[in-house]
Amino acid sequence: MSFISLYFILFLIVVLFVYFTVPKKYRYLVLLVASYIFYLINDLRAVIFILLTTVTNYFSAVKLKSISLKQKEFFAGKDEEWLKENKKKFTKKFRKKRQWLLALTLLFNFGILFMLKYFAYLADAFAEMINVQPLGLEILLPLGISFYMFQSAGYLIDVYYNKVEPQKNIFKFALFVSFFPQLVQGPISRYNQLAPQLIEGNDFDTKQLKSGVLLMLWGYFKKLVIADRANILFETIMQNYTSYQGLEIFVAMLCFVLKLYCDFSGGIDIATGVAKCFGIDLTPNFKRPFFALSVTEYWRRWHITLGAWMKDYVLYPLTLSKGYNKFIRGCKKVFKKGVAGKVIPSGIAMFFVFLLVGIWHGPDLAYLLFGVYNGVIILIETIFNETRKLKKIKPKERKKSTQRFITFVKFTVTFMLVFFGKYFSAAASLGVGIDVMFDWFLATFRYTDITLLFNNFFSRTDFNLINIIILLVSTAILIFVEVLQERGLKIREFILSKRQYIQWIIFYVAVIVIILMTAYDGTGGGFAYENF
Amino acid sequence: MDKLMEILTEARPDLDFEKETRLIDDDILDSFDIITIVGEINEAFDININVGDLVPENFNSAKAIWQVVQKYMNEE
Repeated sequence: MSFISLYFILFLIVVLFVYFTVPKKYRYLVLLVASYIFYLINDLRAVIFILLTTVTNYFSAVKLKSISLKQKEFFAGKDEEWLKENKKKFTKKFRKKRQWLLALTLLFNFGILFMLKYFAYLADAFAEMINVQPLGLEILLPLGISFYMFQSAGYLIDVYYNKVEPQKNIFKFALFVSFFPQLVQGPISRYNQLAPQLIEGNDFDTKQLKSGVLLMLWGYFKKLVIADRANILFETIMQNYTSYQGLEIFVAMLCFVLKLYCDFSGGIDIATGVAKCFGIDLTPNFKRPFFALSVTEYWRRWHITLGAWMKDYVLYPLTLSKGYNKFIRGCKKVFKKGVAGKVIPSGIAMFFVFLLVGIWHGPDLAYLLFGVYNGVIILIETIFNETRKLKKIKPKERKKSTQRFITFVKFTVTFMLVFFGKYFSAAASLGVGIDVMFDWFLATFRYTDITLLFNNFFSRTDFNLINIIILLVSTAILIFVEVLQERGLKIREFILSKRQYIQWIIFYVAVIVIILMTAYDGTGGGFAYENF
Repeated sequence: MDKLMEILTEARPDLDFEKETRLIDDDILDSFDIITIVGEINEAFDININVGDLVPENFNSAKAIWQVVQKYMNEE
């Protein structure tokens, strides 16, 4: 039962109905049962993995807290003299215990993830090494496994640092891990932000429901009308790329970028909209990334919750560790107080994070290179940025038109840098080698006779004119809406402030447009990120 | 507090830390700044700021940061 099916809509209506009819204190149980039904229908065998993650994190968190309490009790009876002498020693002992527990739980969970992602690849590599026929295993990852693992690991680390109290009720915790809208592909929520909303039981609110439905429709529009359509064009051209060159490859790659964005952010919009119907706000995961004026900013607007997760649970713990602190001090001694002394230690840590994101994506050289490519660009941007900050270079006062021009140049350069980075993802998504990717890349810059293009393009692809027009118009609508949002207009609030009948017209038009113009052919219907 | 102000202005000479109260909420400090500032604070005051204390409300203003530093100094 994908988000994209009539069954899902029916399922949602039933769950909403039950949720708002049972007494408030049982509402979380409705969500839990619904989440597990959703999971079981989608991925019956994989339920074992989500249970393992739930149980290990639940018990570890409770145990972490109990060690803390024991430590307090232990110190409570001691006099001051004793404390002065022994407090440090025993604090360290208790800390070690907690550290071990945290490390083992994280290792267990991420070990499973790593094995699932890399086992088939490693098995084949091993077979090749000992000269045996490779097994050619294909392991389909359990639905949404990365996302619920990240989310529960974040919770456990928060408990470790005493940022949140551990959840004593295992059913409430199980809901936090498995909440069905975000199970497919995120966003990765934080316990203190999401759990209270899940547990409390919300009142029925027509405005929230309407707002949720509108957001879902927008998500379906992005996914079904734009992403799935753009993908057809991309695959048609790229699977037979030797017969195309120049502008055609460029167009295909534009379609890929469009597909990637609309597929992922559309799916997130649907998830956020579904949660909103229950009165639950999920953390935003995209903030119109293609309006960024630097690659650094782009990554702050794309898959926001993953970036924030990496920052809080990898980058900061790494750079604040004692070993790394020594390294930072060493760099400062060598480079004194210049830009290098600041950028090198932080930059290396950040580079490591990008590498980790690359490794997480999967055993494909393209993903690794993708991590390196972005890491290098961000490092260069950071050096400029830090120099500007340290030398107190303030942005110059410029004429409005000059400023606009500069913004436009920045926007274009950023877009092109991001665009070329997507070649790595495209190669990985079609499963072609790096050499093929470079062939595409070079082919993008070859000359295409524009008249030949029009003659050949439409006849070669089985993508007719109507589809191209729909794709262009729907993309124009997307850009128009995002420009308005970028200027601060809250579209859903705006629509909901209009009269009832206008709201209904918008609703029906949206539904009809999506149904008539969907590029979905009834097969598959999954999202690019759901088996990550 | 003077020592802290010195660290802050050294890390970001372009900012007026007396006035800023939304350093994190408004993305004025980025993660590179945070890493540098926390590293310097740890060294200068001989404390070890816990990752758990790296939350926006602790770093939105010089005053808030000072409170965190004091908390650690009292614990030591």
